[in-house]
Amino acid sequence: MIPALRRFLVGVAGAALLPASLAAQQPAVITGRVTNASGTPLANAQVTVQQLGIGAATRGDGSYTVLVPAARIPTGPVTVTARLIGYKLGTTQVSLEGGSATADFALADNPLQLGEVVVTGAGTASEVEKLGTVRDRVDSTLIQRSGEQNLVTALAAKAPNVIVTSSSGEPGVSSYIQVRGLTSIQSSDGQPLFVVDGVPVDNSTTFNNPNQLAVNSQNIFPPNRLLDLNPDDIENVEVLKGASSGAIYGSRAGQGVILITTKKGRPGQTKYSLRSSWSLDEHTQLPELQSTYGLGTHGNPATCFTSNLPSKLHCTVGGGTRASWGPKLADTIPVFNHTEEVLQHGWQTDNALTIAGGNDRTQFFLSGAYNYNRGIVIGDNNHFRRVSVRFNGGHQVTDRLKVGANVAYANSFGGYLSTRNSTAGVLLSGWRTPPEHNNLPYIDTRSGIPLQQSYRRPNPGPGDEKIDRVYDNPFFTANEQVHSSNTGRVFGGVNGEWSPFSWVRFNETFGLDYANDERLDAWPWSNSESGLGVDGVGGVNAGYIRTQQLDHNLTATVTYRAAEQLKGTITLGQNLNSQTIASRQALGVNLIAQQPFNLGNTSAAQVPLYDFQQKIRVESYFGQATADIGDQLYLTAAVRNDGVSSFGATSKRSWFPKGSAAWVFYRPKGEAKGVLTYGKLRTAYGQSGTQPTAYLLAQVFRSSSNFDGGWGPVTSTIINGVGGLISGNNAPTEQLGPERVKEFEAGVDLGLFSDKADLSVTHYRQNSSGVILQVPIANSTGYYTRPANAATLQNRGWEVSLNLRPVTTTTFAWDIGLQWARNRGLTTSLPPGLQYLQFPLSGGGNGAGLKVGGAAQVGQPIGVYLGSDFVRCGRGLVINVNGFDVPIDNTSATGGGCLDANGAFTSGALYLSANGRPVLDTKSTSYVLGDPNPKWTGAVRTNFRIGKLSLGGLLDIRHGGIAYNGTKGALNEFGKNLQTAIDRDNNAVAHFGQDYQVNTIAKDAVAGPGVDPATGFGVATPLDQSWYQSGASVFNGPDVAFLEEGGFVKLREVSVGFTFDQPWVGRTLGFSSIEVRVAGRNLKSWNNYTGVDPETSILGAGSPIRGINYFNQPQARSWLFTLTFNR
Amino acid sequence: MRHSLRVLLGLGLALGAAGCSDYLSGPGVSSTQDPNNPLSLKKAGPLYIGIQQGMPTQFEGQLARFAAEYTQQIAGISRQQIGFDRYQASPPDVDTYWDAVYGSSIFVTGGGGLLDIHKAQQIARSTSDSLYIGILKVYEALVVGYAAALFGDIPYREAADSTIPQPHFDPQLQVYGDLQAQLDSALNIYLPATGGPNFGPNRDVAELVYGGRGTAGLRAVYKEVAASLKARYFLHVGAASVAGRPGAPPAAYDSAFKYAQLGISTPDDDFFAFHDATGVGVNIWIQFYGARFGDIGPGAALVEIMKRMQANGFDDNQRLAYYWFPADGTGAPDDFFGYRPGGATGLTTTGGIYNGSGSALDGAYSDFGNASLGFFQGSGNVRNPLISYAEAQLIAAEAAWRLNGGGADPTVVVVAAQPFLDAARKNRHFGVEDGTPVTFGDAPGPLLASLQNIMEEKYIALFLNPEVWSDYRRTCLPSLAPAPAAGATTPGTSAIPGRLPYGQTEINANPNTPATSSAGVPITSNSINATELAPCPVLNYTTSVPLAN
Repeated sequence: MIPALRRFLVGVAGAALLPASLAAQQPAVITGRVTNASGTPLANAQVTVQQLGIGAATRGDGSYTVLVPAARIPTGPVTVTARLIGYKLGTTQVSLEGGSATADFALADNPLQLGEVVVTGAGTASEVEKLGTVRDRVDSTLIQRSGEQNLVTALAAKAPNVIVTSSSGEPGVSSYIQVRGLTSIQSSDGQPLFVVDGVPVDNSTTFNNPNQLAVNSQNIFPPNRLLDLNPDDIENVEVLKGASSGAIYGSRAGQGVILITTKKGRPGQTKYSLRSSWSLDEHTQLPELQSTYGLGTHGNPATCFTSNLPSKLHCTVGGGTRASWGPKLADTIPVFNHTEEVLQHGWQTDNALTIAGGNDRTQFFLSGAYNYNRGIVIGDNNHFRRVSVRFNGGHQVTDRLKVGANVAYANSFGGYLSTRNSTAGVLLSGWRTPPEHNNLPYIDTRSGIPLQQSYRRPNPGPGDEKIDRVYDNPFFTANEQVHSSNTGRVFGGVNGEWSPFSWVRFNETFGLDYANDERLDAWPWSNSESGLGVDGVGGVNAGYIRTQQLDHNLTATVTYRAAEQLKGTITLGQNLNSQTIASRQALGVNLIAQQPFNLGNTSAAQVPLYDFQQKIRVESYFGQATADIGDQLYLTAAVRNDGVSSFGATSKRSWFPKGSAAWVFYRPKGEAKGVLTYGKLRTAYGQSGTQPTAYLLAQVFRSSSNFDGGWGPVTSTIINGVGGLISGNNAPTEQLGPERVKEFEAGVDLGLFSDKADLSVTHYRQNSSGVILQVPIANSTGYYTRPANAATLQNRGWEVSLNLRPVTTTTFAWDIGLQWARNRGLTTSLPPGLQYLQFPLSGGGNGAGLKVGGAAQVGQPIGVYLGSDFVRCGRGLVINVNGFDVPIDNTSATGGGCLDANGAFTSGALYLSANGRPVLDTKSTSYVLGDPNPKWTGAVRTNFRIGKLSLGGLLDIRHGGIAYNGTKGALNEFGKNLQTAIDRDNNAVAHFGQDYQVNTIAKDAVAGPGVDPATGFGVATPLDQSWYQSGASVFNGPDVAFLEEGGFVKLREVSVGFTFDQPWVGRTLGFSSIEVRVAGRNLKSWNNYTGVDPETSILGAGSPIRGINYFNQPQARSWLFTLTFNR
Repeated sequence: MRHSLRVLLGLGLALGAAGCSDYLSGPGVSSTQDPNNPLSLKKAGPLYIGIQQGMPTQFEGQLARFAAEYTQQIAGISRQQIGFDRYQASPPDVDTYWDAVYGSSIFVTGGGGLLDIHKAQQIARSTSDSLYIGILKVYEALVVGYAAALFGDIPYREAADSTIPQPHFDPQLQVYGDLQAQLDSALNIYLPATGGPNFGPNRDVAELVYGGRGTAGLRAVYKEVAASLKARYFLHVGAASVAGRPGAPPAAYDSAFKYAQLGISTPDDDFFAFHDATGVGVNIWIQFYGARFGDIGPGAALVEIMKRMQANGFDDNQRLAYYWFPADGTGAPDDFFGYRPGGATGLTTTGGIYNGSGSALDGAYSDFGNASLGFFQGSGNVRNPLISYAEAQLIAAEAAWRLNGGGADPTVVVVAAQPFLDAARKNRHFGVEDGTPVTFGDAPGPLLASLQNIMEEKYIALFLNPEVWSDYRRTCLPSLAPAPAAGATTPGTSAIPGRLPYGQTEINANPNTPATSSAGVPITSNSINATELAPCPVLNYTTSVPLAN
């Protein structure tokens, strides 16, 4: 047997049979103590004898013991180093020839983190000053203080150009994260790859089966899967922002990479920590509703409310004063607040216990946590619960072999509400209800049968058990509907590190991420969910979504020293990755009995049944070389070759290179003093990519549900006992190669004023080419899309972060962190002939919401809102006046014309018809309306510490960008927006161009026959029902009327904490410390938006579209009280 | 030596893990090997079922709602439909249906269009199945002809071909001509042919519409449908033919007259889209009515014309009571009231244009029939006719009227047209409900064969059939005033639309798409079809004189 293998096996056997400390005999012993500069003991510092490759960590009192096997005791002195994050490296020399030695260290503060090891992905690591790219690190303290249950939400305002959008304040809600703008359009949701302890993990947001997705994609709200990760387990997060830093992940890193490292055990006394947090949640801003005008009628309201006519049509709808456009309510008529009645205070508990410890060779970390969140809507179907456990362990088998395992299990159970664009949704139905209609009791028993009453069917009677209510009573939705997601997930990996020689190290990580998400949606009898065939008769959608990812990553790293001034590493690696998705769901319609919500209790299945499987495999090889020249110039070059199964046959493999240089042009010889204490210039270039979804090139036939316009009606190709097929959407194509992001980045990192400040400035330029699109093609080809590498995009930006530490004494410390970033995205090319490219799921088409939503259009910001507008001059439009078509750009003014009061033609002016009102332009629905991306983003963080007391705050700033308030447009139609009542009270009139704007963003010049020559503005036109139900209605007005400013300044966090760690705490309570913290989250948002918080999303993290609001749930404001017991 | 052995061990670990040569390809993995869907088809049956099931989306969905709203058979009274009633259709509103003419649409919508018809024809040709080929040609003419009627110029010769990414738009008259050729080929070559393995859909149990008929029965009935379609399309181009428009066929009214008589010969042969009472089988009109309760209501024009016909002794109450539910009372004619277009109320009316008259008692309006005998009742298993015996007879009646001196005045009575009008009014049917034909017996009469009476009878008989919009555009009958603008009490100033805008994705992706729509009112006189020589006049309530029986 070759010696190496024997040694390996003996080591493994020894590890299994013996306590590790017995493996060596007659060792030399190095002991000592590590403290900070003021003498406070430092635990968890790593003490290493580098040339022997052995070391130990300090215990709670700062002491350590390093055992050196007798056989390895060298002659002469050895260098011992002590390293701890936040402190500078300590170095000393000792001799071991006497059998024992002492080495004490007093470590200096290291605010610039120089010398700290940074994981850079795929098994590679570097040190801070050697990085050629900007470093953005978020540590556990910041994550814990946010108190968020979702790690993605916790990353809000933590790093420049890392923009997080929490979809709403609902429990278990998804959160969207975008790094340096959108670099891809359709082949991904534009979010970065998440890697936990070296293993890629799933962060998808998966809606239920596509039959639902297409019809009513917005109503039920799945989480983003990273919600399964307990934020308490996280040690730190490194953000690899762009291609130059993420290229080592090749074709998966196009949107950046988030590297998460979980906590590890340390040698020494076993530590226990119990963190218990309780929060009180309430809704933040909401639209204002009127409560003075009542139900309109086309008939006799008395009859509507008392009779049980088979047809109630004339009670609530039709011409005339429909919806809440009825008469002013007498003071004697009670009115109801249809917002507050369904909202309550929510609360959240989070209890996490961690136990960590170990000895010099074996360390472990064990955690268990329980998170429960009760939402802010009444009823029992609005909650989230996560039970999670984690074990991280590591063992030094021999001096040359280290093995470890990180395994987490989580059970996430979310009860979700039907919300947003759902006729069975809580707010949509509640806010449309006339003020005098009492939604309680929501079950009417007058007829002897318990039946749902709603304002659209206020007098349910016999025969109404299974009749759709058009809009459900919000109490009915909140109490009776069930939408749940129950996920069991295990993720983690095993790893081994073997250093057969001091100059080479093999590292293997084998990871697994397996989740099974059981979904259940249940609609009871009389529900109003349209488009699934369950309205009225009820139904159950049940099934699972199972995802699995296996990842093998093997690296060999060689450390070389070519000369005194030239050293570095060479890494070669291999990665195999396999991702599978399997999902089966069945939608049973027509509940036989009212309960249970079980497929067996339904009489028919919606066809086609949903059965989906997907496999994507990746096979990669990569190499990286670094060179440290003279300890001031650091070069890195890497290349990765990826083979991906979802590409076309001829382009399965592709190369992704990167290179970077960091030049430390100033570094203090001794103590860091003076104005400039550290200086580094860095530049990097890299490429990364995006993988297409599976089977894009398959030519298929499929079964189908043909539905009618998104409003409900469905037919199927499977009928009458036979099955039909239709052709798939994708036109035939053979080529599909990689999408590539090329990024150039350059920046400077400075330490200033004796390290009391540090400044980092970064500029980047990204170009995305070959962007993978399902290119819309002319439907007259018979196809809807053609997969292709078709578009090019660019993102340019700046990132600045400035940290100030004006005071850092042992009793008082104050630090301030400032961030500023901007990103300018631009679509630079699209396929020839294509005017624009609509983002997936952008809410276009017949349903509510923007006609187009987010889109790419050449020359416009990526994600620009396109939509419909009023008629404007200069567009070559023709308008029909008295039966004749008149080109309104004709300056002759015949029959109108686009002339202003002075007889001048103004391009872009709002055309007013003779009655003073603008006219809907139905010629195009893809006018550029504005950019939803913020002009710049920023954050201000500060923290004071006075002795044991600490105070902190975090301000999140998103400046600029527009948002779409479709809710307002619908409430106008229904006469519920408060402004409608104010205008009715005042018999208000508008003069367009003067005192009324079609949107809140820009003031319009006006032209046309409706302009008053005397004033130059529109003639007076009443702001009455007809206006609010046409030009100002989301159903019949243009999209432009519902745009508002979407920027905000938000007080994300404020917290006060006090730590009790005096000796009496240990003596009397048995704890080493107790921390008490009171925090407020999302306490205040300053914005000019009239709906719910403009940080909102109708599609959640499943789509890159931001800021579209159609009866979205409000955000939550929380007060948190946290107790942490450490032992 | 020891060093290199250790390095070799490391490399061996790496290479060992990369062993599988087909790791990136193979079934379920390769980008072309979707395991979830069929990749090829050997029989036309599944496609034929898909094609038949695409019909309801087209003929009962929003396109049909546009047609019924524009012709005021129904009124859009809430949410989006009230805007559509005021002619605010924009390209995204028709996108789904435009796409479905040809093939796929986003997600799970659409399908069963021209692409699938062509693919099914290819499979049928590979087995020389003439019956299938003939039937599929009839479907091609039905689907494409419908699109030509609604949209005008459309891609056809270059359409449904993945090698032509941006098809050209063919002139509408050319499309109609091409479809006549397709129908001729079906009628003269494929449907009469017998022998060989000509099983048609029966072998696949794929015939839904005329299920249960044998091969010979299918040949016979699809010949009738083909002839009816030929007659319908000759009628569409009749005016252009008379005017000698380039591309229009000569003597189109003669051809319409001829083929109408070869058309559907009995109400039992009426062609409809298949429906059953399952959740995904219900008639789309009825599904929409339930899911979007209150968005649409009865149109005043149709209700009032039906009431007038009754008052004058030319109709009975059966169809009125089947189509609608009374606003109040017992269901006598006076208990029915429809909505004016655009949900307008308080209209100033003295002239008596039918959509402006009618005073709802107590402000109440009728509903769609949901009593025990209504169209929208019960199981939803209603198969309303898409092309029928009644239509064939009324095509013949109109053609006879025009060929025998009808002239410009629609009140002129032409005796030669009378037998066909009488035939249409005998043994009245309205499709099949729960497996049973809906019959109303013979209409009272006689109703004299003036063009106005022919078209009004057709307007009533073809309830919810988009063909009434084509009739209106050609004849400007019945007399309709445009919908008032929001909040207005007088009819709008724009003509009732002449056609629909093209779908948004076509506009977006095909630079050959003609610019058609105008602003404010999408489709007006400068964008009518080539077959319609002039837009219908804009009527108003106070000065226009309605036609009288």
